[in-house]
Amino acid sequence: MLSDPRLQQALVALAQPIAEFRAIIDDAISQADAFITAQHASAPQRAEHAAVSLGHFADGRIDAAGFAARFPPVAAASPSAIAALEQALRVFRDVRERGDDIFVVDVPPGRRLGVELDHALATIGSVFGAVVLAEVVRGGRYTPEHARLLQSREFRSWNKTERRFAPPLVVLVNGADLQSGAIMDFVDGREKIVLVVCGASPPAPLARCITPGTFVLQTVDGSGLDRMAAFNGPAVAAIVPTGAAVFMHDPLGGKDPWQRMTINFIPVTPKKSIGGQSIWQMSEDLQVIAELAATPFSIPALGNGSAAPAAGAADAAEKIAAWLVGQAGLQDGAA
Amino acid sequence: MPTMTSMKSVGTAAPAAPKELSLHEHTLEIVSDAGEGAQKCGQVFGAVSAKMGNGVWTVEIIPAEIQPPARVPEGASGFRIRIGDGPITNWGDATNLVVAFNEQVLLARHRVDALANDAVLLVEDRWATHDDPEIRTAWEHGMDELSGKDYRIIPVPMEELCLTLVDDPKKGKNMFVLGMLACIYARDVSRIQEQIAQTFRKKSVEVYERNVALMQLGWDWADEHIDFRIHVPVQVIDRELVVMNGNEALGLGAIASGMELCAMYPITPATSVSHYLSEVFEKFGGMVHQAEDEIAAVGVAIGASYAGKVAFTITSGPGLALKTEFLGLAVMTETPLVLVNVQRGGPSTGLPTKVEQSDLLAALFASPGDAPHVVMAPATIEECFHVMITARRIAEAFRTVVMVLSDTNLATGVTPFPRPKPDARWQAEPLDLSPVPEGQKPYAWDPETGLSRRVIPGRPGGMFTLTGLSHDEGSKVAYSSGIHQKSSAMRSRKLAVLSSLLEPPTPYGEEKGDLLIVGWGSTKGAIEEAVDRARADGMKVSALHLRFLSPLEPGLKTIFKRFKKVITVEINYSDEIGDPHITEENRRRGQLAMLLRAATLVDVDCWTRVPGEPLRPGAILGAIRGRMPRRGAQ
Repeated sequence: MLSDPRLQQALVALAQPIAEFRAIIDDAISQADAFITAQHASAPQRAEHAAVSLGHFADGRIDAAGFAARFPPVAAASPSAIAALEQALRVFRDVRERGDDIFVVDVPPGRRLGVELDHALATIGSVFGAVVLAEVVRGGRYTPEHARLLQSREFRSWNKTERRFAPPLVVLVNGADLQSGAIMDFVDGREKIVLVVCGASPPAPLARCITPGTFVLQTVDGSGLDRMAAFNGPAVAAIVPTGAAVFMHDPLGGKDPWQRMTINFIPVTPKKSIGGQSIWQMSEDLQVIAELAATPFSIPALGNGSAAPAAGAADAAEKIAAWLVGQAGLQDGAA
Repeated sequence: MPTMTSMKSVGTAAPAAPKELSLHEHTLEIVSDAGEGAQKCGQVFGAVSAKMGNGVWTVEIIPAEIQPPARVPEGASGFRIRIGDGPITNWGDATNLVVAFNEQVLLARHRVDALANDAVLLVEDRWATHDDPEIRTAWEHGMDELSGKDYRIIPVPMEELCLTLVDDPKKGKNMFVLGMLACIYARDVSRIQEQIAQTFRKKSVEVYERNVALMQLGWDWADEHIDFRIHVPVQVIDRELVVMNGNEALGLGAIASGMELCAMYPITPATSVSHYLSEVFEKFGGMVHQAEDEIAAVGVAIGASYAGKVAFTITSGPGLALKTEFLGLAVMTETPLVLVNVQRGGPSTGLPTKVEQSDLLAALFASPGDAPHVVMAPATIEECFHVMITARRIAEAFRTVVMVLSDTNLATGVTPFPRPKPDARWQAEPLDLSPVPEGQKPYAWDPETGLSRRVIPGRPGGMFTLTGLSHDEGSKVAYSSGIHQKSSAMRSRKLAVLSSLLEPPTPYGEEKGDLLIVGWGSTKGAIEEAVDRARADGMKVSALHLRFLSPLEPGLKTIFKRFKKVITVEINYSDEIGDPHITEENRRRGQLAMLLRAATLVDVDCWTRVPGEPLRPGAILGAIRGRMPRRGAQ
């Protein structure tokens, strides 16, 4: 499954949030390295540090060596604190060296999606603990109890800031194992999850992920992933097999559900269950997205007898216009 | 009564082959009624020119009122762009080409002597045949007034043509003009399209396409009807550049320096810093707090800083006046604070949208009582970025207030400069949150330096009462005169320590000569250009531009003594000898001149103006000529 081209497509779409998460790690490494180096810095090194910290406006205007002598850059840390900081550095570097793999979760068939997601985020989330540990050491507050900050931490214990900087995930999962309830535990902050769905899939597995502030996307060809990645909030997408529903719920679309929903395709309900999903459950999922997309306007049948289906904001205006034209008797070239 | 055809104008006949003018530099303006988009047009033109490799300096022309009436000279709103084949550091002297949306806004520029005698004026021509006879009469009077100079007037049917694409030409003329200028100056169309896309990034694709079509319409018209082209060579860009105005640079600098909070109250011309920050600050972990007034804004910043956050506040002159009591609190409690003052014309509401450097003394002596603090002034838009890093570092190191004096010229001017390469060491060091050693006091002043270690609330063993009352090392309210004497000395001594770390400034030009021009803030480019011209004429003139105004940069007296005469050039008011009642004794001098005379006991003269616009290098050159010591004078 890792050779699935849709995996690369998802990683490319998530390049920006991935880069942002890496920037956190890079900055943390740079600050921790600088702190350790400064512990044993010579006078010229301290002057160089002071010159940089004062910025270019001070170039040639402030005596950096004199400034360094007057204001030592960091307080001396204990050997145990330095050792803890070095452990934090190892966490940063481990995550950094794993490249894109750290953002990919391959869910073995039959395994619970939620457990795999939890495990993956807890592993990456150790970075947040390491950041806190580094700050504790740099702030002179380190005690041996702080060492436990390096233990893996489940998503449920992440604070608001950590959830805002949550790493994105690309998840390879069998359609039969795709339970939307398992995903909802992780929909917060700016977490982005892209599910690459293999095999038979329920038609609208993400229907129940839709909440007013969550970007939800089902796509066959990957279109819409760029908008999902740019969304400043939690987002879930699934690249589904052909035949599944294709829709987008963009919270920026408007206040009402129909303004936020765009449906490109709604299939008929499958004739047999898929995975743990019964026919009734799948039918309900399809009904949910159809009802969310329904405009608040009652659009009566047009003159030719065809009903105007409500299918989201994209064509609502046209439908209303067509209805008005029909009501005014202006269709078919009537003056 | 002169008419368009009887004046020195061209018709709209198609030129056979446009005349190519290759120039080192050229200055153009776009002026309109407020809301017609002249500034947006100018911003795009300036940004594209900078990205193509021209030196650029822009100045916004902003009316004094937010919604002035249409078609009145006082309502002129526009954009002036000076482009060159090398770096451009100021707005220059006269404008060579103007595009005006009506004759009234053109008259506004003519009447302030902004236009070169041989300027080319491209003017919307619909007013000449307007239905309203009053408008036609105003047009004729305007043309009559303009005929006193050698302007070349070219009528342009802007509205008529724009109406072929849009219903409301008010929302299209600016892009038409952009296309016209792009043709005349051979601007890169793909870059213009990129810039239009950036400008209208929050609008629909249709809006973008309509604006591009209007731009193309303007290009096509100019291509067919304008008989000259202006070629200002571009330089090969061999390094990454950024193009921005001074307020954006201040905002970016705040982010780069690790600031976490911008507490402010809207005030022209400072507000756009917070507009910019409100779009991006949160991504970097910061926030903009718009308080209920100026006083609350500085109070929030001080409170946040006291609690350990890296905070700054930003304002303009009237806001500075309101913040002064709280500034005293920050000085007294030794709470680090960066205060940015983007100066405008004063006093009172004064000239909200115009440049002035009249807040220097208010900045230096901003608070009642003795409240020593640092005052710094960036001289370029690039320095607006870098000054924030230095200001933040000094504020924290010295536990004091650092005031940064920018001004409208820097705030709204746009110029390219090398892309800064952020360094993590620009950010604030981590707070020392370790337990406070027993016996350490919150103001454990080093008697030699006045410096003390900051105690952040929450540090074990660090509890103390913060007070604005005079206090001792333990922050206990002072009941003896000796304590106030000591604490005042400690606060003052920190500035002496900073002064001891400052390097003497280096004059621009020779180390000695007949005349030294001293300036500060945004006048640097104009002063140095004037000095270059004077030196080319054989005058022994140098310039010195100060960035630290409190404490003053060291060695000034020694530098001054190498010149026969020293004058300051400033955008603030001073009396002129020879004016009624003005004598050497009662003359009020430029603010920097007053400061330098007091600090050095050198007889520093001044040449200052308050025209509501940046100083022109030609005007400074005139002042230099008028103040050159006579030969043989000592």
